[in-house]
Amino acid sequence: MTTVIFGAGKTARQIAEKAAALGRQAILVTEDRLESIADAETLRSAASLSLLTETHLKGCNGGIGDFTLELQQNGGTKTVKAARLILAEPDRRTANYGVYGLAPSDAVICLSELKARIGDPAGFGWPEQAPKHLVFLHGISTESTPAIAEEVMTAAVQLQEAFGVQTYVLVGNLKVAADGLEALYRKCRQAGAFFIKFTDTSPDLRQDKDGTVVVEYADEITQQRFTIRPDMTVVDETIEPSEKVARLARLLDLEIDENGFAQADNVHRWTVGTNRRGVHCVGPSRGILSREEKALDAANAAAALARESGDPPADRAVIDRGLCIRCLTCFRLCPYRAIRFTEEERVEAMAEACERCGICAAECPRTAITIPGLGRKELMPERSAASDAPVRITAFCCSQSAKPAGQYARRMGRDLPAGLDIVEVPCAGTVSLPHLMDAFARGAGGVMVLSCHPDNCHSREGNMLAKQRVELLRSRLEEIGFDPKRLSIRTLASNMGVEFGEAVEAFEKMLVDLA
Amino acid sequence: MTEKRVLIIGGGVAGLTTALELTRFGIESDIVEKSPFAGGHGIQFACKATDRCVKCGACVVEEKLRDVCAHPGIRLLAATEVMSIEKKSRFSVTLRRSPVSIDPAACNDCGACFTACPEGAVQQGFSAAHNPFYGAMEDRCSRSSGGSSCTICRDACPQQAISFSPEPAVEETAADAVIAAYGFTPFAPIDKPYGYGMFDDVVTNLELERMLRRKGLPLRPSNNALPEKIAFIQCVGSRDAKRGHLWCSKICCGSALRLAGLIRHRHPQIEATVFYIDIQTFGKDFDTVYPKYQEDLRFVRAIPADVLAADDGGLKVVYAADGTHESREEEFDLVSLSVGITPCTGAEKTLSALGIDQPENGFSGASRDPGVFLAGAATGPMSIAESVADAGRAAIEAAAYLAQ
Repeated sequence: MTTVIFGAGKTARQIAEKAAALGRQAILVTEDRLESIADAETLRSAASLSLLTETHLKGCNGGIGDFTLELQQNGGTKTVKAARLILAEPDRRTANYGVYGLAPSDAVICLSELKARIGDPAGFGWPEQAPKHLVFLHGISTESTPAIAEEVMTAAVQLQEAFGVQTYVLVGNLKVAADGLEALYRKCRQAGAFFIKFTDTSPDLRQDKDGTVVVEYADEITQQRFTIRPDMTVVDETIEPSEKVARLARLLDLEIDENGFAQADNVHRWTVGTNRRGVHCVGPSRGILSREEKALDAANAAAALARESGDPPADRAVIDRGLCIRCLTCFRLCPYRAIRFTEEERVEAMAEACERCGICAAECPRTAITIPGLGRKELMPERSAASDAPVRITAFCCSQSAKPAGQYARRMGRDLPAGLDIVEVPCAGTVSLPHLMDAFARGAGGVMVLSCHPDNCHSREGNMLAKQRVELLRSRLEEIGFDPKRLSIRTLASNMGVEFGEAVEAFEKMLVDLA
Repeated sequence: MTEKRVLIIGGGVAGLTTALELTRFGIESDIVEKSPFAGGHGIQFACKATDRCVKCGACVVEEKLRDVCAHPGIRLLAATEVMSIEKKSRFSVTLRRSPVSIDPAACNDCGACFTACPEGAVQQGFSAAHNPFYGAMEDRCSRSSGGSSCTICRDACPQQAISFSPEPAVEETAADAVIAAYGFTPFAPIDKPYGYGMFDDVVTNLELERMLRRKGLPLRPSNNALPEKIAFIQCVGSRDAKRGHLWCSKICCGSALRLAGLIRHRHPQIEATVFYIDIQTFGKDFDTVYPKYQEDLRFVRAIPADVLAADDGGLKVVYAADGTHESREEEFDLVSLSVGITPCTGAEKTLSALGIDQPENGFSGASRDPGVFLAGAATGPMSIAESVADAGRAAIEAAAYLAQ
């Protein structure tokens, strides 16, 4: 079982070590040159490890347990087989000179440069040539992060204690929501650092020709005006995903978050999980994490490697070769990238990768895809409605949200409509137009689709696809003179018992009023 | 091959997740949860979605609890606590079950016990996965605490589902490794000058969460009416040097802003003000959502000094106004205190039996016993997402230990 780890940095190595301890072979793949990798020799000499430098991913086929990667190295291509893939690329940092309208100079440096000087004081002529007064510009007009705040405060303590520098931290919201940071903040102040906070105002920064900065500001509480003339100003940095992460996410068809990190901002994604089974994303590849969170990621990725993948489940999507016209609708819409091309250029669903959301089957224009248990004849209400109910309602309930919400409502003693028939579906995306029409044909006076909230769908946009179908069918129903209000969709979460009750009761009342 | 069994102390999100992660290594576990309702604090939280999910993670706790209940390899023992634990060749553990027991098979959720209990000790569950759906809180039940012979709940039950054991029911069990996931204790704001416990309409953010989960509405406890103006006071018991609480609780900014956002989404006429020191980053989309909250909510960068009664039944919040040295009084009709995460109280005996160190801040450190692992907010403030990640770490460490 080979694991390909993209990256050769600290997190990548931690995981490789853990993989080795589990007896798993790991290949580190990096676009970097050998010279730019710290301590590359140790990496190359490790028995359970190989290192591919200056190597670019060109393509990926297959799924968990059986990925085929096409890699390019020195102009040649090579194919590598892997059971699992891990993205462990470092992030990218941009110094915020522009944010503060300053130009880098001898007197204006960024946080990373300051850390380099603190790490090698003699090399920079410190402590003799260390500044006497130093201003940090930190999270003003942009929001910083605990990771950066920790570096700023650690540096401030070192400057105060080891080099006798008077430091001033000019800050908007001080981000202390990580382990030990509030204590560090207190320590920083005890060491003599001044913290000046800005809420609705910001300091006036003027950079002289010699590169030094003059800082003027009004204290927000006392309104008193102050001027600082530091001999060094340090701008903080913004953490972003690296271009490598963006490229890998594109090539591997991974969901990205709005900042471009290779993990969707979806609460249902496992810590180091992505939308693809067997593809994991850790540390700086998945977001801006604190030190302790990065360590947890490495452990969780190792846990993924330790697991044996079992037999593929039997209830997954199957594509009928005779009916499939290779229109690729399923390929485009599968949130889990479980559809692949075979060597005979057929389209095939991989049982190991399929999560059984039902989206492909509902969207296939040829109805060539079947999923056991989700067919038109199979998706039936769990219990028939009482015969004396004023109206019968079929509610397609997502098993992740509305189904438990309905159970919660019932257990709370909520008097749900007597004619309510619940059809549990793995995802609202399962509910196809035929499913909806069948429910009316079976005699429902109203049909509801109850899905997860936008951005909360386990299958990315099964909820939105269901909404599109409902809207389409509503307009068709209206054309034939059928009241479209009889078909409704709304979103819920698994813990919204009260809201479930309100929704179905209001729907029943509306249907009764219609009649 | 493996007959190894793990004892997990605490059925919050960290304990539940550790149990689920252990099953992936073929390891079975017993989760011991003191409360009748597993899922910890998170199971009581409301969904705070507006027109979309705001990533609070409350539904993740729900999901973990459901998965645990459905898993044959996990035994979830609610209303149970560890009485003693001793390391021999394995850990031998004595468990104590609540003296009031409701048989889930007989209970039909009618709620008669809930209505009948004069002490308010019988509570309703927070999730469809709570089985039985009603449970007796021992700290309120006069039978458990005062040794009374009250039988009101049992007599009220039409299903004969409730039984009392004369002595606490004791069970002996053994484990090869222990996961300490006993979580945190919310800061009790009783000695803060905010009138908690004195004014009905001063509530904690946890109480507001519960109210939204159970009623769907942010009501004023004094009159069950919707408020017009809500104040959220941050850092109550966190970042508090006077109390030696030198930590940020990490989760309260996200909790308050999301709660305020939800309330404003459902009831746009309600005004919401957040009193704060520094707004902390929460969620991956903070940079996008924070400007929206800044538009929608009012932010005051001051921690109030007092909450006083106003003449009309409202509450006066006293705080230092910007740009002056004077204090200002402003009226609100509901005040939510964002109470901090503090070290778990009541676990001291177990803690020392397990050889767990206690660092200066009072949370739990590492254990001297190689077979004891910590997970979740027992070790310090953690969000739901971080607790899940930490549980994954604890599970693989325990699995590696058991494989030795």
